Amino acid sequence: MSEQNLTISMDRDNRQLKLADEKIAIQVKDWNLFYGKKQALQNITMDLPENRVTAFIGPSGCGKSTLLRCFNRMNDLIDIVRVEGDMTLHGDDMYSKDMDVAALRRRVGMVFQKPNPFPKSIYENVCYGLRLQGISDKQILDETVEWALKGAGLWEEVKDRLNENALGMSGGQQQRLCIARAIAIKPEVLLLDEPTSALDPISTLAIEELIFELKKDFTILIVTHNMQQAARVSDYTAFMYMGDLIEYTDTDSLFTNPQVKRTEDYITGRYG
Amino acid sequence: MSRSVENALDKALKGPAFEKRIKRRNLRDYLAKVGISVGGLGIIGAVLLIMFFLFYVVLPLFVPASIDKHHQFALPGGTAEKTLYYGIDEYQSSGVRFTNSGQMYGFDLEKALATSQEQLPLNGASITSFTVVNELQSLLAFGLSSGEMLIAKYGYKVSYPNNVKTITPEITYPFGEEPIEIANGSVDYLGVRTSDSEVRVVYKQKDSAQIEAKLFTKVESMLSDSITLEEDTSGSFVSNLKTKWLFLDSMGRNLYNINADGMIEYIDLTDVSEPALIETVSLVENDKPSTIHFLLGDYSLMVGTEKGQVLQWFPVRQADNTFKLQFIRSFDIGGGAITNIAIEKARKGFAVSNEAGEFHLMHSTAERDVGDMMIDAKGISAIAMAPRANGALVETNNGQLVQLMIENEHPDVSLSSLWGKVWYEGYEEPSYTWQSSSASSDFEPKFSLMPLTWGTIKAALYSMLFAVPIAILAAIYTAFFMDKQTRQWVKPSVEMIEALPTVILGFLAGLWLAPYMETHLPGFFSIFIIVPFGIILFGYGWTKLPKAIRQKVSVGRRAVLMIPVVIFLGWFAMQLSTPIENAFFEGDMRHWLTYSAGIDFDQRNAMVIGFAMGFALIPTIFSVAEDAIYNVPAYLVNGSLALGASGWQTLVGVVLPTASPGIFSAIMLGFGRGVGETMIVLMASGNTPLMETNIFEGMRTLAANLAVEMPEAEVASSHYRVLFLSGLVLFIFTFFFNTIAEVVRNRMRRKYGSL
Repeated sequence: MSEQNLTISMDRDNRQLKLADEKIAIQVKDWNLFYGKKQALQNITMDLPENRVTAFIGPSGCGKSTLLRCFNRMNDLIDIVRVEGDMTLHGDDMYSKDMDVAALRRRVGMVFQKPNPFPKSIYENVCYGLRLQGISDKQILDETVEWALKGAGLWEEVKDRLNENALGMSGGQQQRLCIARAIAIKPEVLLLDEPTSALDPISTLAIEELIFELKKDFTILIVTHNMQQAARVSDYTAFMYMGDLIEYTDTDSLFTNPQVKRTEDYITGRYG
Repeated sequence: MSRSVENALDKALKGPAFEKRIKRRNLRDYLAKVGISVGGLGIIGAVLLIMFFLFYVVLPLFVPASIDKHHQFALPGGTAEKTLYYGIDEYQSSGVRFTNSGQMYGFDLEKALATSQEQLPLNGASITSFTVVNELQSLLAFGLSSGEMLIAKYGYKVSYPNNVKTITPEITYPFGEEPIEIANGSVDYLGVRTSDSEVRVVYKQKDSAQIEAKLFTKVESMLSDSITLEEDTSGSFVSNLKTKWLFLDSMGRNLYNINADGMIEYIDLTDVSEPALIETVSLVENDKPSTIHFLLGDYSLMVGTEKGQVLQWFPVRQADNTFKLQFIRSFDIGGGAITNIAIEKARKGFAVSNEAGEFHLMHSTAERDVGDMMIDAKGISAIAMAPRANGALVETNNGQLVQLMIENEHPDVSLSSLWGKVWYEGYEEPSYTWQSSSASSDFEPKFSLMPLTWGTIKAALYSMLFAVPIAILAAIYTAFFMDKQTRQWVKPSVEMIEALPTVILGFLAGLWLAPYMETHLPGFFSIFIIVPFGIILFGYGWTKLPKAIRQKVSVGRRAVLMIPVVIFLGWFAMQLSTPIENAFFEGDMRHWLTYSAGIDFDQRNAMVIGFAMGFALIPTIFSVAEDAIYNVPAYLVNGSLALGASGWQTLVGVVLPTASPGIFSAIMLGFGRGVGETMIVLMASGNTPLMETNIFEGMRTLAANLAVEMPEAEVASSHYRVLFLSGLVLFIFTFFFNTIAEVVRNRMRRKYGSL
């Protein structure tokens, strides 16, 4: 199945988007990130709009994943990483001393490149985040699991085998389970780090449809290698190169009328 | 690409050179495949061979005896006289028959013919009673109608007339050829026991209620070597029973007077002048005794009954230090009344014959019917065992003498004697006992594997109690919290401990730790409280330090700070030992344990083993558990963290469940190693085969027992084979635990295979 065919069901709503009109979820200002002495992100300043899908594209090593991981402070796990600049989530300084990392990550969910369900039952996977927050009421858990699985478009497929091991599912199902797991704790922002790169075209289509649904409730940031995907699913697109944010605007403009030569070279396939 | 390079590539990638290389590669692959298969199968084969060898050595323990008819010939001396006793020489080449008319018939067993005949010097009297004084010394006593007693000893004389080795029976009279006068009338029931300095005699006359007891001292003649008996004391006891059997035990101190219904008077004859009745009991229930015989050692009464049972009774010490006759066990023979009982002369085995004419080989403590044979439907009138229990003589009611060849190497071992409680002679109750050798000759080896198995598990459990928490917690910390650089040297150095020879650990534990622990007991107990709490306290204090100081040490390296803390806490606990002892244990905990708490204390005990062997188990458990935790994929950890979990929540919620099969197999491997560990327990456990959970008492493990006893076990003896059996048990133990560990590990691999 070709990529073209996959887009048929995608139905873009209004394409006349203006960043200036949007409510902003995350504000990034003069953001720098260093791996030891090497600088990986340089002076990034951008506003990420609420309830929109923002895609980060760029060649390998451009820093798009690194930037994405800044939004839930996953880079904290790497000893040698050092950051400078400001980053706020709905006005809260994400990197302040008072900000609890675990609490931040509750607000900023993340789905990884490779599906990573825990070796537990489907039900327990979705519950995991809730249980971390001390929720143990069976009814709350049941309803939230159903809601999250429905939200991830997985409910019909798995409702009869919630207690089976999640590792028995297909790759696409596992990835949607990871999305369900992420949205079960009602994050404000959902980070998707190349969510379909390990999946087959059909699963990819399902996930892309899901992203389209999810943006009603969540602010979605997606890193992708696949430009068509960015064009299909995102409202805004940021093009990054060598740690710099080169161009950031609404998706239509970026793909139809890039303002920077480098962007044009990339989207037309001169390098990548 | 230059032309020459292209040519070279062409040559390399196709053509005959290429094909040749492919062929060579295939051959190498094939050889490697064969080599690896041979190696793998060889290992499996070697393990199976070891297993097979163990089984091969152990198997004879459970094989029934083989009994073969060797000869059958007409009874020497004929059937007119009744047999009193048969003697057989050690090589089963000749035998001797004593009859009630005082004749001794010698016969050659190889040629099956009578060789000699001799009349005992009865001085015209007739034999009215007969008793075996000492089976091993071939000492017999005859009671005579004249009121006299004749003590005779038979033996075999080897001579070489015409250069042919000839064995002829001979008889000697250790107390003179002249019968000794003991009674006024005929001696109808007689019991005689001798010791180094005295001879105890009991006798009874048919129509008298009196049982007479006499003590003779041995007097050595000044002129010749001959010994005569001189009466010392005498006493009498009025019996209420009509005697059918009269028995005096080996020490001459317990007298049993039994009537035809199986009522027995148990009489204390410690003081010959004052025989005292201890009790009167019935030996049988709804049955009647048909024949009674002492078992080897003349302590147990084996009562054959008319319903075909053999019951074993012996006196047992009671709580108030008195003795009572106790029913021990019964053997169902069947085939009508038991007609004869004969005993083996080196083991607690015996042979019985029944009315149906069957010959059965039995063993008392092993409770085994080792083998049987139908001899003669007309019945058996007498049986006797050869001295080495490798043959028997059976006299049939038909006047035939049947010589049996018996192969019966290990009647003394059975599943019930190995794994069940056995009531041994002289014991107050049935028990699990391992006692393979002793100084005394009438000793019966006791092979219960229970105390050894118990000791093995006890040693392993106590050391696991010490090793598992430390090893698992250390593995968790090293794999999950420690930074990579520190981990790189921590892991190998812990694994280095494994290379430490356990003999050194055992030696340190036995010679330094055990005595040190004995004097610092409270200190060692306070370690369990002081060290964990001290560590937690230090950690808490650390979080209260200013950030500037804390950040000087990176998170992954903070464990290093604990090293001096732990050393200090250990030292501190030891310093507390004496004050605690003074405050709570009257200044000496060991003394307090023994006398105030009533807990037995051995210097080399389970606690020493717990520390020493625990130390040896730590690297095994640590290494495998650490690998399991470290190999939990990072994306699972990240997935959990991204959901807002703290490090600790991720550990408990994702990492430990995912690694749990690996941790389990680490524990199982540790247990397997603890079960098989030899040197540490050998040197530091005291090697006492006890079955106690008490932490202050030692144990003997299967492995240590093998190391201790194998060098002194006689090859192919029961002891030797039981040791091999214990090796097999050990093998199965470790095999079992390692298999469980491996099965769990494989299941984990399958379960997480898609990760």
